[in-house]
Amino acid sequence: MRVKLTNALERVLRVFLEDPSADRYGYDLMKAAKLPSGTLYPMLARLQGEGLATSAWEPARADAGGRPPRRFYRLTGEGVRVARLELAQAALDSANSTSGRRPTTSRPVPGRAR
Amino acid sequence: MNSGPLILDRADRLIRHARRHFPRSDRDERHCEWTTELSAILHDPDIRLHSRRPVRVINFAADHYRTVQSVGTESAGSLVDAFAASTLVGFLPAAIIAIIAFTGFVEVEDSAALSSGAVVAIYAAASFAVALRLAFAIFRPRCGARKSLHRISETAKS
Repeated sequence: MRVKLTNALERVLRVFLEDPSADRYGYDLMKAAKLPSGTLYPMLARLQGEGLATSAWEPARADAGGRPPRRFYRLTGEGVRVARLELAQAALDSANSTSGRRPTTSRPVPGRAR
Repeated sequence: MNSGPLILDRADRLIRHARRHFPRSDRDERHCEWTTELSAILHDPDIRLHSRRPVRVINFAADHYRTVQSVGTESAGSLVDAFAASTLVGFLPAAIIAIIAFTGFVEVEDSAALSSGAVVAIYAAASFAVALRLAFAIFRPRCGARKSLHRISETAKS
C-alpha cells in the first residue's frame, strides 16, 4: 500500500516511529508533530481508515483526577512497515534532488563483471 | 477573575458545532475525544506563559471547526451547480413563458393556452422554491462560520 506523503503526514509518522509500540493521544501528537488539531485528527482518521493505525480508549483510572478517558493511537504492523518505507523513499528523493542527480536504478550493466 | 470555565465553555460550543458535520454514530466519540484535551491544554505545564493557554484552547477547538467548515464549503460546490442548473433549466424559462402568456405579449384566445400557461407558472414556482432551498443550503454554513470566527476573535481578545 502507498500513501501520499505530505509534510504533515511525514511529521506524524516520524513521531509514531520514535517508539512504534507506544500509545499516543491526539494532543501529545499535536505537540510532538507541531500540527494544528484540524490537520492532525483528520489525518489520524485517514490512517485508521486505511488500516495503518489503530485506536483504543484509555481504561478508566483512579489517578486520572476526574479527567475523561483519552483515545490512544498507534501504528499497526502494516502501518509501521509502510511508514518506514515511505520515509526512506522520501529521504532518498530528497537526497537525489539536493545532489541534482536523477534517481538511479539497480539495473545490471551489460558486459560488466558481476 | 478565573476565565477557565468560560474558555472551556466557548471551546466546547465550537466543538459541538464541529461535530454536527460528522455521522451520528461518530459524533459522541469525536466530542468526547476532543473535549478531553481542552482541560489538558488549559493546564498544560509545557505552555509556560499562562496567558497563552486559553488562546491555545480556543485555537484547538476553532481549528476543528474551521476544518469541518472548509470541508462543508467544498461539498457546497455541488449545491452551487445544482442551484445554477435549477435556475437555468427550470425557473428562468418557465417564468418567461408564464409572463408572456399572462401579460398579453402573445394574444391568447382559447382556454387551453391559458391553462397551459398556468401549468408553466406552477412549474416556475416549484423551480423557484427548489432554487431558494438550494441557495439557503449554500449560504447558511458560510454565514455561521463568519459569526463564529468573529466570536472566536472576540474571545481571544478578551
